[in-house]
Amino acid sequence: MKQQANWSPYDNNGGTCVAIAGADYCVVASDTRMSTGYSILTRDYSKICQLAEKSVMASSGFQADVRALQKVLAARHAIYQHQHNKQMSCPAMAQLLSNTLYYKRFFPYYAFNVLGGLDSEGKGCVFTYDAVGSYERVGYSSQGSGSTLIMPFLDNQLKSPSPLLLPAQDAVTPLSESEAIDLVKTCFASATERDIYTAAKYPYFTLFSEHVRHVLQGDKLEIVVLNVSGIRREYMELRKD
Amino acid sequence: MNVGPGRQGPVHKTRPGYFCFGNGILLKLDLESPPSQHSPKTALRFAYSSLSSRSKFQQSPPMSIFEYNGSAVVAMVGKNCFAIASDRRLGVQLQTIATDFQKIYRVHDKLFIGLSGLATDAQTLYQRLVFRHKLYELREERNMKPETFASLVSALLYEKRFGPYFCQPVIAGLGDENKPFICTMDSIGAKELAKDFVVSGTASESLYGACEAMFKPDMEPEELFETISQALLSSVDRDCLSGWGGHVYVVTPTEVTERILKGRMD
Amino acid sequence: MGTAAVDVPMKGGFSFDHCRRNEMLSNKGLKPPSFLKTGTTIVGLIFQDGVILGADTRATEGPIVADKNCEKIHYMAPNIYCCGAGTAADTEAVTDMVSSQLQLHRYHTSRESRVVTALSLLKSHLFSYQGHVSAALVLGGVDVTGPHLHTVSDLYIYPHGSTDTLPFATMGSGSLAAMAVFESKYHEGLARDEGIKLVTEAICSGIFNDLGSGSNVDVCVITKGQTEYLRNLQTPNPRTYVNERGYSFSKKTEVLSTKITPLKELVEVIEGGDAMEE
Repeated sequence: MKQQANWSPYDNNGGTCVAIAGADYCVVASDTRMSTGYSILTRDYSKICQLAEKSVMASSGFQADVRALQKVLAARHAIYQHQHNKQMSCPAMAQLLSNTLYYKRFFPYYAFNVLGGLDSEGKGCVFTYDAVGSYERVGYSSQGSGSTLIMPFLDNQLKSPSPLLLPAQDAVTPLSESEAIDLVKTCFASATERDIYTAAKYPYFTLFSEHVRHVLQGDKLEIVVLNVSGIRREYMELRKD
Repeated sequence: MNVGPGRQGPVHKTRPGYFCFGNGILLKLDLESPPSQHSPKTALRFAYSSLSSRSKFQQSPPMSIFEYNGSAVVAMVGKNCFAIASDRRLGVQLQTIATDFQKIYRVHDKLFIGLSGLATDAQTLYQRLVFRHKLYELREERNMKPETFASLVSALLYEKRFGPYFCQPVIAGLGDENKPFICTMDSIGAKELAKDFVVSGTASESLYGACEAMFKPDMEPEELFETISQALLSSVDRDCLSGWGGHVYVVTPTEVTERILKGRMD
Repeated sequence: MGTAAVDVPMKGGFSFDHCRRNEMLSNKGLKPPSFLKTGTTIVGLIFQDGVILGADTRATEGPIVADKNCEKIHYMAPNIYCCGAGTAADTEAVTDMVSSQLQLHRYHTSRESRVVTALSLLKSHLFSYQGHVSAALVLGGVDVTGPHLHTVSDLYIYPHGSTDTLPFATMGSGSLAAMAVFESKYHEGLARDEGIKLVTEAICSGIFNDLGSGSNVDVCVITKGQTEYLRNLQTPNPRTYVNERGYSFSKKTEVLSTKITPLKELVEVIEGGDAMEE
């Protein structure tokens, strides 16, 4: 019998990420379920990683690749800090992430990222990526298994001006921070109703407390909010089925 | 990100007038025409045609037969009323053939069926349904109840279990005492009854997300119309194979309101 | 009649009209459609006075939940019910078909249907289609010979349509999760309450640990002379968040044209003095 090599170096661990940029804040959220096939691996795995003081990355896809990517970025950021004696800005981190992804163009990191943070003026910014580093600065974005469900609703609520308008228009959303958090919660509550790979707690993060409280029950939404006062994390329970 | 067969997913702007795709290909768009025409959807299709000559290298997964013509159909229940809506595009893969295509058919005043999927099968199926409904009317001297009609559609589809019609129906009607009834099926007639909303077509995932977030129980006809229209239009804008405006029917016990929606024509 | 009544199927049975065309299309590289599946956890067990069946209520189409609250416990006869997993249309059609055959058989014999009759009808149908009708069933009921529980499956074992007779059974994508519960806690002579609790626990195990199963728990308890269908016995997965303020739409939909058709009120006509017979 002919032997077939059907092993794949990739897996898809599911999950959904959303980021919304506001005038003086940025909300990054993702669910905390990690799954493969029809099985749940864990209900309490944070897909959100703080890369620098003012940039936070949420990634879905293959979590082994995501971890590797986070490690590379952390190392590059450490070098940057040694060389420049400052934190990397969010737009700089965005370019670094793009380059890091494109560097593996022909054996990509199977990671779908959104990068959220505050730019040098303190304005919220969101960058959205594909797996090989093509990226764009937007006002809001969603990636991962539930993104097709969430994106139309975000479009409807936050419709941003065309990126082709000249002169370029500001893409940040007009919502207040608490409205944006409500919107994110609704998005996830809706997506978990219909997407089997999205569920678990969603935590959100605010940068000012040093400690990040980890809620140990599973299947939540993790929401990270960056604003002037720092970073804050919040959690909301999601469906567990 | 897929360029050819991938329908969803963003196309990224790098410099004004240029779009960058996942495989690192930069495309320059014609900046002479007004900016509103350079939507991501235009660019995506643009990219597809310029890449098709390289198709040897860009092996794509086979397209589903459901995606051949493209469609989006949705029905929602309100308070003593229902709404059923569809997009208006008829395409052959990525090329648009018509922008005023009917996907919702009237069976009788209070019963509508939306057929998504392969248009040729949808029309054939509709003709058979009309025929069977007329026979029923002659024999029974009354209209079919929506539940009965759903069973008829299901039976016609399951009859072709091993060589199906490539369409997914959405049935909406007012039954006894004007109780709204909505239901959808897969292409072999597995009935799926719902109390809130049902969706089908190439934009079904987007519609699920939009409806799940926007739907409220017991809406009055006007609010129901606004909700279903917003859900439909925001969903088809994220699907390359459906769109080009919308067609909405709102049916109450006393009247049928048919509206044609303006949408993005790209 | 014969050829003249082209379109009205008088007899049942499948039509293979489109098979050639559809095969041609798939040879041209167009992917044939996927059907609605019930990913499913379905279970059944025998307790001291009868049979308990259980099922989750999620129907999936790929990674998307198509129906959050579908019914997977199908009626076969007043004393027999059947849980279905697999292609939704097949489980629905095969149970409906057999239940009508059982009804006719009861008219014919004036006796209560037996579970083995249902079992034979199911398996001969599935066997004759050699696995193309894909259904995995848990069949349970109480008849004159006592309580019975069977599984009918064409999904895993080769001669499609194989059956089993068991004191407790699970099927579907959540079968392992549910069986883990049964294997550790099932014993003979369970009381009714214990039985319902165990079935619920097994279904919940499927709901929470298998992504193909979800939403609510349906249970059906069949005892001698009585059947209780406990639809949505447990609803452990309510929606988690609803924004009280609701959402408004910043831009109203633009309408190109509107056509309003008023509907005529249906008038009931009563002829003469007394209403006509139906």
